[in-house]
Amino acid sequence: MEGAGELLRHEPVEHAVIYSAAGKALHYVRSRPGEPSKVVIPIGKAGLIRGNVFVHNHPESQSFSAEDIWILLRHGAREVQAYGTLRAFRMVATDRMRRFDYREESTGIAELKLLYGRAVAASDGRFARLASARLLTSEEAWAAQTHSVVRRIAIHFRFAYWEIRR
Amino acid sequence: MMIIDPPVASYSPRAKILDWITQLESAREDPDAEPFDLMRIEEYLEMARGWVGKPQRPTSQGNGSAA
Repeated sequence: MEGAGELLRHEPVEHAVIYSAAGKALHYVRSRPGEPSKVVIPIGKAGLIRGNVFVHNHPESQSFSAEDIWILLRHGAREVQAYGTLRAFRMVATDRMRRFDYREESTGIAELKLLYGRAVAASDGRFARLASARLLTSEEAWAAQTHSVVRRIAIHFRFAYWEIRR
Repeated sequence: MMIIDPPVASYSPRAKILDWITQLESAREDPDAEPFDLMRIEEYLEMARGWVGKPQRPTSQGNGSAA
C-alpha cells in the first residue's frame, strides 16, 4: 500500500485507491477534469471504505483535509494515507476514537469543519511569518500548517496520526 | 453542499485565495445551505477577504434597493 503511495506522490492530480486490510486493491478513482485536488468516491463504492485502507495523493503535499478525516470518523476506514511530493501522512482509527454514524452526518461534519477552519485560522500567523521570512516556501508552510492542524484534530477525536518518514 | 474547507492560507498565492473566496460566495447562495454552514461560510469569507484585503461584497439581501 505504501508502494502505491510512493508511485502516486509525484502525480499532478489526485488519485485514490481503496485497499483491503490484506493489501488487495478494491477500487481506484482519479480526480475529474478541472478538479485536480479532489477525488469523489461513488456512493455505490463508499461501503468499500469500511474496515479498509484509503490511500491517495495530495499534489500540494498538505496533510489531511476535513473530508479526509471524515473518511475515518464516519465511513469507518481502518487507515487513511496521503502522499505528496514533499511530505506524506497517515492516520489510523483507534478503539477510543469518536465515531459518527449516518444520523449524525450533518452535525458531525459541521463540527469537524468548524474545528478545522478555526485551527487553520489560529495557526496561520505562525506559518505566515515563516513564509514571509523565506524560511519555508508557501508549499512547505502549508504542508507544515496542515500537519499542525491535523495533529490538533487527532487529539480532539482520539485517532492516531503521524507523518510517514521515507 | 460544496467542499469549503480552507484549501489555502494567508501566504498562499493571491489567485488561489481569490478562487476560494469565489467558491465560498457560491456556497453562500446555495439554497440548501444550512444555518450552521452559512455561519461557517461567513467566518471563512471574513478571514479570506482579510488575507487579500478584498472589500466585502454586499449580500443578496442588501441588493436591489433603489438609489
